[in-house]
Amino acid sequence: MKKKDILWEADYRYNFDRDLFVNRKAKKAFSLEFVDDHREDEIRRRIEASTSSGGWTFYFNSDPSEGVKRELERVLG
Amino acid sequence: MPERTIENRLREEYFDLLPVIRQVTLHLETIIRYRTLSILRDLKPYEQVVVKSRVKEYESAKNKLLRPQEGDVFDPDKSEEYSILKLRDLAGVRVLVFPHDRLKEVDQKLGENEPFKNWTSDPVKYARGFVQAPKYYGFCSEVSHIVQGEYQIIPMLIGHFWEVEHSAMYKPAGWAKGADKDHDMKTLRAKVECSLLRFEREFERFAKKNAQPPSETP
Repeated sequence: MKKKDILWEADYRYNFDRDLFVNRKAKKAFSLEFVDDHREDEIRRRIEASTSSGGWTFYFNSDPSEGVKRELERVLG
Repeated sequence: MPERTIENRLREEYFDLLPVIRQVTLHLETIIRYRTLSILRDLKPYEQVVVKSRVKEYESAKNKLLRPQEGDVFDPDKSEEYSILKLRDLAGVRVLVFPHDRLKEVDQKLGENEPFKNWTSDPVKYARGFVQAPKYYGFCSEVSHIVQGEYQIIPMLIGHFWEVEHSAMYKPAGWAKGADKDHDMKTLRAKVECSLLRFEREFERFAKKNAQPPSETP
């Protein structure tokens, strides 16, 4: 199965403005670069991982700064 | 009073600079046309050298500043680091050359004269990184010490392909955004570039093999 289909099945939708795969309910976002550079099983593992903070989790190749996280949380809602 | 966004500041900076960007573009295009005149006069009937210029649009400039950041947002904590002036291709010229043989000649001709002698080389890799198109950036100091210009010399078929491909991939109206980063699209683009390059090389080989000077009419 293609990585994009895995994300689609897990209710991730592509955000064209930000180039991210986003699941607002799970509060997780994958960058296109991260999806390109990681294997299917790694993507699945992160989709299934539990997050406890209540905030957003961003899967990026380069960790986003606090400012970028804040800005993304604001625009993603 | 609400804080000014980075986008608004960049937009103001861009439009303040626009008259200078236009001047640099015109200056760059004129020099390149002049320097390539001797090559133009010497072209065989099937050969072409075409000079095209463009002023980078605001949206394109903003997107280029955003592109390195995953998530496509400006970092509000680094607001002062973003500037339109960081872009090297605000004023851009493309020299399209057919066939490929003429490329080195144009590159050499331009590089040996001012103002390009000391410009920085930053070649474009295409066709899966196997080939490079010469690209340079720097200042036309007669016109501006703050706005940089850029010129590149490209095999013509690939250049025409890029015109369509870039406007679809990098200046999208919405639905095509992200196509430039899509793995499948990248693979297809590399295949097209390889095919076009092979066509040019094969044409050159054929033209050389079958070259016959036109017979003089009595």
